[in-house]
Amino acid sequence: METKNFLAKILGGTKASGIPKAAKQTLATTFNSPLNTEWNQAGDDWEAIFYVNEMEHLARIQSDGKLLSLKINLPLTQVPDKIKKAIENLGELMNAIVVKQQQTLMYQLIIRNQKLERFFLLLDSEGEVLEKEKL
Amino acid sequence: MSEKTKDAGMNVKQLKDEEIIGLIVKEGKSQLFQELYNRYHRKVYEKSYSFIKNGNQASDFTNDILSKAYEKLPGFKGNASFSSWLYAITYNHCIDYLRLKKKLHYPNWNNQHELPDIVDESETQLQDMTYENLMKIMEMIHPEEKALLLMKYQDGLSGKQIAQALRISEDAVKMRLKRARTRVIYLYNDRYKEEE
Repeated sequence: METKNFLAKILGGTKASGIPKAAKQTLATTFNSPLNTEWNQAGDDWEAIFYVNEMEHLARIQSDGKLLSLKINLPLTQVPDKIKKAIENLGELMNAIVVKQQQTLMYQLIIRNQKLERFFLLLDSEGEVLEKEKL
Repeated sequence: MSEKTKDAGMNVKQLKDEEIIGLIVKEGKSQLFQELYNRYHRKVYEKSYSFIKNGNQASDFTNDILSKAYEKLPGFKGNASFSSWLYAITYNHCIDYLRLKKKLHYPNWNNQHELPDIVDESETQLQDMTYENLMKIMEMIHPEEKALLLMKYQDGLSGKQIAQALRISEDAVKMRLKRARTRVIYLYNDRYKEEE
């Protein structure tokens, strides 16, 4: 292992270049004091990962500055009861991400059943399962 | 047999990993897997040991992981290097073991080890951090966070490979990687910054 490289990468995180001004501007104006922002190119778009209120936020932004989606890593205690109830018979909740896209709100969940099999679930804001996939 | 191996008199030591895999999968030369074993068993052992902290068990794991890799060889598509692919199997094997046998439970651990503060990285001087201190901190974080950091920053695995190895989604990989780095920086400030 290249020790120095590992150290530098782990401490420095991702250092993308060429981030469009418009994308940076959208981030600055949409979010209140985003902290520790890291940018990554994602196809033609850009992804910024940062903290707001001590929660990880992942914003996908077009080069022209249009915000396409926002994902927030939810502490499991903050998952709405409606969503918890919808999956209570499916397994134990292991991870929750709320997705805001245009006017829609969805939840990306990871659950595991008693056999420790893990599943990815996508639920709408009412708790209806839209997608289920074994991980 | 390919022209290359004929010319080389089957000097497998000169072949790239992917060429050896081609000979095993397409030409049935299963004995060549010994060369891949020789190249990687030490690395696989070290990675296993770093998670399970038991030499005998790490040896058993190494054999199990390399056997599993052999069985999965026909599914190796060459999209990533063989080493990345093998290390993804290694991390998956170790983390699955810890989840099952040691009742490893990341959400509970994360709740119990909530970060009291998200350190502003731009105001943190990390240049003086030593590799030794970083390794000590890596032992203080959850094994799943440690695996994430090693896969991403040491072994260069893609988000998709990491997601498959840990059986989480790619978005969860991004979020947890961010948290893992934040925790390392917080712990460094908390444990070592005062000493300097």
